[in-house]
Amino acid sequence: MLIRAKFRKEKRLRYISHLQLLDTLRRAIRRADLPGKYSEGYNPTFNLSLSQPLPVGMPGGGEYLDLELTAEIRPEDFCRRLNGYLPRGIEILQGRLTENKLKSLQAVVDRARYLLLPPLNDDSRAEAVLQEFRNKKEIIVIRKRRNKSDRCYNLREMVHKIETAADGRWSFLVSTGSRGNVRPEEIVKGLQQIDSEIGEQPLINFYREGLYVSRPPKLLTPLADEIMEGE
Amino acid sequence: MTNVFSEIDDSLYQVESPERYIGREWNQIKKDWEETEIRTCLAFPDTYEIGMSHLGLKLLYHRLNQEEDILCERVFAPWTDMEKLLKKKGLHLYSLENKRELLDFDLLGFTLQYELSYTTILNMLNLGGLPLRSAERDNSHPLVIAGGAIVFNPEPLAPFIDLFYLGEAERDIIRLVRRYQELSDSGCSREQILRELSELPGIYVPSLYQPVYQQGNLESLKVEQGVKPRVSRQYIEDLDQAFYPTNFIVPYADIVHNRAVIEISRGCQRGCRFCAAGMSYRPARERSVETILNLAEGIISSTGYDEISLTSLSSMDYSRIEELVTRLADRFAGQNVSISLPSLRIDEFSLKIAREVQRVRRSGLTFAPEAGTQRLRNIINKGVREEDLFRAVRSAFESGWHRIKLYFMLGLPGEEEEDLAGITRLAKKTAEIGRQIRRETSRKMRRIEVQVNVSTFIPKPFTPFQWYEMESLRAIREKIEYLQQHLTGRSLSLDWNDPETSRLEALLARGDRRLAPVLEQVWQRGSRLEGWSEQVDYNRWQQVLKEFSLSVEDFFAGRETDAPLPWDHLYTGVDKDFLRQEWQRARSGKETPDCRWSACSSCGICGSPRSGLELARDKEEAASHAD
Repeated sequence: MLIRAKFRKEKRLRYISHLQLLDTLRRAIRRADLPGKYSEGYNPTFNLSLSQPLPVGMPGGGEYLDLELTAEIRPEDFCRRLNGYLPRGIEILQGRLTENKLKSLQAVVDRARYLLLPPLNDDSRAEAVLQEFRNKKEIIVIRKRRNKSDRCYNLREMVHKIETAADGRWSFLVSTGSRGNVRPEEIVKGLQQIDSEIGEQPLINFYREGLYVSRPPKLLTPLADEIMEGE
Repeated sequence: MTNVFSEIDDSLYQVESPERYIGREWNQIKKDWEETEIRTCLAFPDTYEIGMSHLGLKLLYHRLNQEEDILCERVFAPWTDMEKLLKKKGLHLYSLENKRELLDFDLLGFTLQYELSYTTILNMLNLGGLPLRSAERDNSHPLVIAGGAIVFNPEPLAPFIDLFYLGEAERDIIRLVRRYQELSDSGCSREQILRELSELPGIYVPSLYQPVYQQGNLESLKVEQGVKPRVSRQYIEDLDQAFYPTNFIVPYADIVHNRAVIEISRGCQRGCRFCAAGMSYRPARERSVETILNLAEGIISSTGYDEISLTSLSSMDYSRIEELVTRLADRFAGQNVSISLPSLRIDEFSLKIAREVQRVRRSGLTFAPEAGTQRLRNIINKGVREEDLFRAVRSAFESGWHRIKLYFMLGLPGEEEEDLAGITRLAKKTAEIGRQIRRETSRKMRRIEVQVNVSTFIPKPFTPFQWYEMESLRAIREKIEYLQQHLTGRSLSLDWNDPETSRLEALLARGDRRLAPVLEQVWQRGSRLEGWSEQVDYNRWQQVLKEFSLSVEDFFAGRETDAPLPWDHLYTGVDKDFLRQEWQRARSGKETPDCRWSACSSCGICGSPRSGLELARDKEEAASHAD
């Protein structure tokens, strides 16, 4: 038995790291006395896994967790009980139970949507910049890699949808995960190639709205029926 | 008053470990600022991770917040990057709960945990917007108090702190806070308030005591009329009944002790003559097994921790340790909670307990013989025999440990070359025992490692060695070199604490008020966070001392036992005559046994012999007799 749940990590809690988030969730599950299943071995710990890490400082509204269970629990109860033991800033939004064998979150999630606060003072140019981004076939950016040489890649082919959100933020649906990954700061580098007036954008100007699974022509969430039915 | 956090929130991604500065951990207590009458803040002069590993701070935090009309918040020293950010934004240091500037509080309490944090205290006062010196502050500023493990010689800090609390503050911190509020409500001046507060037991107001120096020596102490000439340490008599929280804050950061910490006993009577804590935390007091089990239950369910750590100065001396460990292990077996014992003694019994727990990490085990020969161990009263050590390490290797750390001190009174040779001999023999067991065992065992760690002995106040001199830097360096040359071979490694840093620690531990302007000056030139090796600048200290016509050596000389000491007006409860007698016995190589298992040694802490001791074993026996 496994529960997959969607959660958000926002406000001050955007400043805790991925590992700290894992510890926070584990302890909250213990406090809430939820039927999490422990791993075997010398240092037993919950079989809990998360979707792709958020950079420290960036809030996220559609993050996911998988937790193996030893007993069935109604997803609403799971969310309610766990939320009662989580610090403000992390909230479990919804969950689904399954007996099926699922691919891990990090293996299945391949899309992320980032919202960026408008980086130009003059909003009237927003649409032009975004249109130019869309029209390009190739936007080459340099990726800095730790302990490795820099690498160039075509950002454009990993940006799948470019829009303006209702609140004016710029929205980018990009590849994420092991089969191709766009870093938020690389989106900025791409934008700067189109409009040199766009300055550096701190991570906190971004918001990771959600993580998705691409099943062309559909874009699914990790909680969608097609995904929860297993492979 | 500004809302500091809203101005810095969006910039925190620029600093390392921003979670240090956000608060909002599970179990944090954030009270309504406007609705709460008395506002206090506990300040720890080091980073969040270090401060949140400190039990005393948490005890006081929860004790103060237990009172409905008092709020207590926390502040830690910002790392250098955060200090820069605060300054760049023109902001003051703020508390983690309500994010208020330190200036907004009625009372600010610093923890004195180690001497090298003194410059950080000055830095925090400054970052908080407070004048450094007590004399420059008035009722518009919070009352600045301090206390903790090293409060017994607070003299170098005297001009900066309004009052010190000597002893275990959870005993009457509430009384102090309420009295202060009463006095400031009645419109008294800061001076009057301090004078009144000085009447409370355990309260030391340094401005009411003026040392007189003569030719570089302390001559006497002028005490203002009507002020008590001697301040006595306060302590909890019945630890079992004493306050202990269960709703501990659960930090996000991976702090040193991110687990359920239960203090099973306080004080130690072993009487190691170098140990300041062993002398100044007497008498030994224990919590009962029942109380500890209840606390464990409460902490585990409130925090969600999966590890319980039993802490005390010497856990193995707990009179019911076997029963305690067994019952804890039974109780939590089904909940995947492990138990750890941080301070193991050198004997087989300790290992038996460790095996029983079966969750003590197998990677390394630490033993502290402290000295290389029996002669020197007698001098320091470390009641460990060589046979004990070898039997214990044998047992440890046989139980599967492969790495053993051995701790020693250099510069102890009476130390000679044979003692250094003794260190290498003990280490080599330990390695040999390990290798032999590894050869003969059928089990898979990792390579044997014996790590020797040496540190410079510091003759600390209120120990029998307080009259002894601090060894010169050259002599210590030569001893380290000797060990480097002789402690070679398979499975052996040597590590040492920086002797210059030890000298700074000694300087502040043994120093007097002449060091206050020195402290201020080194801080001004950039010293802070000196508990971190990369932040210590020994040369800067030497330079500043020179400018004040002082030197480190001025504070390191040996003293006659009748010469006045800078801390003579403070009293830990252990008599100076006992310390003199112990110093005498040390010099003739005589041991003094632990009074828990032998006769009273008349240290002065108990009214009548052994009456202050409070052991779980005795209590149970008393209870069973009553039945």
